[in-house]
Amino acid sequence: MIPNFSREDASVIAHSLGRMIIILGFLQTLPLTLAVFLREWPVLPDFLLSIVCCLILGGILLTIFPPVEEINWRQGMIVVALTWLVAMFLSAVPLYLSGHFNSFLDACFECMSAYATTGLVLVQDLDHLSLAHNFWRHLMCFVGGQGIILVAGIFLFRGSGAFRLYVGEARDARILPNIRTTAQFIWLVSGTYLVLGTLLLSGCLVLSGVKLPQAIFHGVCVFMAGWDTAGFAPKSLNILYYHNPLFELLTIIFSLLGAISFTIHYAVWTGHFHELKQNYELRVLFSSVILSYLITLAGFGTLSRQFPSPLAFYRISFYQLISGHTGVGFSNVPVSELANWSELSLLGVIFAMALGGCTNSTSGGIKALRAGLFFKTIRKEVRKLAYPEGTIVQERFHHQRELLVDDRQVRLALTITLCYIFLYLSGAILGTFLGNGFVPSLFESVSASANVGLSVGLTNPSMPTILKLWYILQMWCGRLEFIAIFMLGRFLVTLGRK
Amino acid sequence: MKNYLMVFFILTWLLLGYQESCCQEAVNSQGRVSVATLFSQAKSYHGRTVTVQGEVIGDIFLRKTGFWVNLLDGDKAVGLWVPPELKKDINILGSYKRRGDIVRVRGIFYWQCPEHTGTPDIHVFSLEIILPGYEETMYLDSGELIPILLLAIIGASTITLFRLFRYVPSANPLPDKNNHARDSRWTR
Repeated sequence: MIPNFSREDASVIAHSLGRMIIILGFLQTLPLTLAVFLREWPVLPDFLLSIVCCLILGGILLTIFPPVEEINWRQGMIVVALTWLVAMFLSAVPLYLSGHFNSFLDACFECMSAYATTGLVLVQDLDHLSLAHNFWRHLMCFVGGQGIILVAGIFLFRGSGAFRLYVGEARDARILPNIRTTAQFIWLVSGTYLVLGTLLLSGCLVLSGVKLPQAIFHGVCVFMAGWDTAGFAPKSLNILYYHNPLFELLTIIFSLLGAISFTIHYAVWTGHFHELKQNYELRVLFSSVILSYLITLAGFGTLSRQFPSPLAFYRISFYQLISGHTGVGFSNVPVSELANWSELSLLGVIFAMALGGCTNSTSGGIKALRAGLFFKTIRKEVRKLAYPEGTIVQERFHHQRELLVDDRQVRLALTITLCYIFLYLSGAILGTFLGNGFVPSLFESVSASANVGLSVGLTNPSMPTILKLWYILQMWCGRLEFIAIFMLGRFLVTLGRK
Repeated sequence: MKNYLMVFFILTWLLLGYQESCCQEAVNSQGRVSVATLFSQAKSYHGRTVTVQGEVIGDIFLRKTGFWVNLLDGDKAVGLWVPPELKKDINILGSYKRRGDIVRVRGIFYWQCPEHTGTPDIHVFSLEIILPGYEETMYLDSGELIPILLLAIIGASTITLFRLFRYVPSANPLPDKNNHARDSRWTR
């Protein structure tokens, strides 16, 4: 039987949460500084209020609850789940005060969408939003994609406590022996790509005659949203705003890099290029891209629709598919375009979104490695039947090193996959119950749960409140991969009993 | 067979007629159509000359034979492909600090533009400024800072009070028979 949570547990959790909230307050000084630099004076009170709230709340928690010596697994999981929830509420304050949201709930939705790197938006009149607020939206994507804990926790928590928090955020790769050095490596990779991505994307815009400061702002924001597979863009037309195929190609490249596991990045970084060829997860990812694209193409075949050229066809269909598969959610067509696709094409994209990118990457969904494990298990069972009774049948795959498919791994993968499937279906059923078609409802539900952000138009400021709340829950569960949320649920039930 | 063909032609005619009537309904008295309507009835407007009105926003993206600018009409935006000679007519582009020029443009709407690899746009051939854009006045309302300052003071005071009168549990969990006060202590 799982032991109940004690008062000491609550104290440790509250203290750790206090630390996180303080860090969140400091993070908001970045958009505040930008507002001062750009002389966006009316924006200052929005961020100041939010920062003050964070410092007071965090300060009170740190003062009331004693310092933490070591944080255990259960406490770590709850801290992670609560941090994401509290971060959503506190980060929504400046956005709500911007006046670009219908309600505080809409601002919360936007924040959860950013932190979970989903990319579904409820912001209104985005084209007139201040650069500071816009930067804050994209910074949240970057922080959420890297992992709030990775941003804050690693520098605040020592020893194995930091690793427990890191795992709570659905990451389990110890790329290097020490969690601190692992975090440093992840930041090194992300930082390098940030500089490279910003240079390339900004350069693309400068060549189009955009002024350098504007180009850098767009470059940074689009890179952060692309690398962390979030899919936000500074303008309401998303990537279509730029009318630039080269820019679109760069966003595809960076979102693909974001969807690749940090363990593969590490292998390439250290000169082990053969990992690119041998890595099983990468093979599964590219196989599923081909499979889902074939389904999407078949869907286009059922339409009597003519594209002006083959290049136009690939630009539109392949971009949406890669965007869905990597979980980035960028779009180079208006929302109404996807609504015109056939159901089979939408199912192709749904399949891609549901599967997602690699484990230990910034993308969401079931993940290629888990899908690959099922395939290997099926193969193993078939081979078992074919061989004489008593023969030991083993399946291997390459993921950093040669690994055997073992039952424990498969069981864990199956549990998470079933949770995802339930989550996908729950949103689809709710969407259908509220009067939408099943396929569009499923599309939107998978997009929210797998943290993608593509939309067929169901997500808008006038959607029912219950659907907004459910999508927030889906984005939260999908990003943290359930375990931390389940642990939080148990903690709250235990508190309720006392 | 003839009957089937007849039914097919009648249905097609009715369908096209319906689409036509939809388009006509969406066009207002000035012959203008909204961007939202263009996208929702993209198939029927594809390749047709339309007049749209809205605010020019964001940036201008220069190309060899023209430039791109985006037009915002309500909550929907569309890309305009404009010939270079019309660039001088656009003065202010909308952003946080500026309300862009409100322009009325006439051009051909493409749902899938053959010239620009399939994305939707309007190829503009006339552009007229209806309302010139302007700079927004940006100022900091000091009245908004007062409640934040008060909140900060109250918060800081509360934290200080908590720190001063913090309850610190004793290291020894067992109560001392002689001195109960040692079981736990207040810092002050």
